[in-house]
Amino acid sequence: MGPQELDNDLVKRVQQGDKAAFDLLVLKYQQKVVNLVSRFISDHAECHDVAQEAFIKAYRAMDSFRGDSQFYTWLYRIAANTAKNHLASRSRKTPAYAVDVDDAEHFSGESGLKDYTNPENMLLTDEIKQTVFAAIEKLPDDLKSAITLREIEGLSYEDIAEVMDCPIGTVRSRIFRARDAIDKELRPLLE
Amino acid sequence: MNERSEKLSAVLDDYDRSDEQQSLLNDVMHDVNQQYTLRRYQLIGDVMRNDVPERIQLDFADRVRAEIAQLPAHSAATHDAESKDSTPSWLWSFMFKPIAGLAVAATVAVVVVSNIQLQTTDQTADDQLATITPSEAKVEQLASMPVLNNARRVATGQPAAYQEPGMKWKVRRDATAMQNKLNTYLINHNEYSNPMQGIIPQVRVVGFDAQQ
Repeated sequence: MGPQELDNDLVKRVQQGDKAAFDLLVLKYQQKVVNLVSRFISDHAECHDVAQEAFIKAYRAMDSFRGDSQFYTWLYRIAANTAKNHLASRSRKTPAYAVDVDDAEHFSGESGLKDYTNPENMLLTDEIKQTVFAAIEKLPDDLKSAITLREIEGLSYEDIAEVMDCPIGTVRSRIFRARDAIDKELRPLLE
Repeated sequence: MNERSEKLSAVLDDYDRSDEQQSLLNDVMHDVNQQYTLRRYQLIGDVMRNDVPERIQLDFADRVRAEIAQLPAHSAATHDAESKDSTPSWLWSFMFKPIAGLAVAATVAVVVVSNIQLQTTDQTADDQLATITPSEAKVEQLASMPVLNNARRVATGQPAAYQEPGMKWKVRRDATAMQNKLNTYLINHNEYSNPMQGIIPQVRVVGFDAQQ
């Protein structure tokens, strides 16, 4: 299964009436969509509401998605339009700087979302981040390299195999073992 | 379990070329534990890429799911099936609707009658139990009773539907370090977020009262 084939598979399932498949698409793209919307709206709660609305619009319009473009490009356009319409409906201006939807894939979470309502949650978010980075530090070098090349550099399994000079099966196993080790540290924070 | 999680990890990276891909997706979509695992794997990647905001909203997907649940499902498959169906709709209305109506009515009647019977039996059983005083006799009576709608789930060593840790915050209120961090944070937050910077809250409260 190549890149985006999973998306196409899930989209097909949604179009055939399987709502659960849409959950996985939400899970996969929620942070990207929130990050994109946060370029337009800085309030945390408002941003999440608009991102949620964007997903619902995408679900409603799923029948019209024919696969001519990548699913995530289509989704990002819906999210950007939803954010713009939200601002317009409140007679607020869109940001002075241009937000390029095609760059949404590279937007990071440091977009200045403001949330003064839940300091406890912010601290716990901080704890999650610290736990993840501490767990990565504890990983053996081969696992650390594999997960870093995959998650940060975005390399495919084939490319990682070439860089690390090992079979693809080994790459797959190392990435899983790294995730599993980090997950073991993360799970006590969640219930 | 590990093999399954490894496949899940590969699916997350769009790399699983096995024929089991479809069945794995089916499992994930209907197994909350696998969904949670997938979500945590996704969260790990988001944290590493610095894709998470200052405050992670872990219930975002749940909120979207709740909204989607209220919407009708897409029905491409139903439409396909309908277009292939050669039976004219008038024939369906004319011949089968009355029969279907009768069948539904009969089913409802059966359910209602059996419910009434069950409730009656249940009530009688409770009454019988109330009149028996010795505890051993109660146990025997309980053992002989049918399990009815008052049955409650009891805790066993291993719950039938064991749910692994998921995606909700576990707030460790007993942790001193966390309490200290939180207190410091709240004091800083209070100082910087109000227009009367530098004044401690108690002073503000006294001032406010004085003006009353």
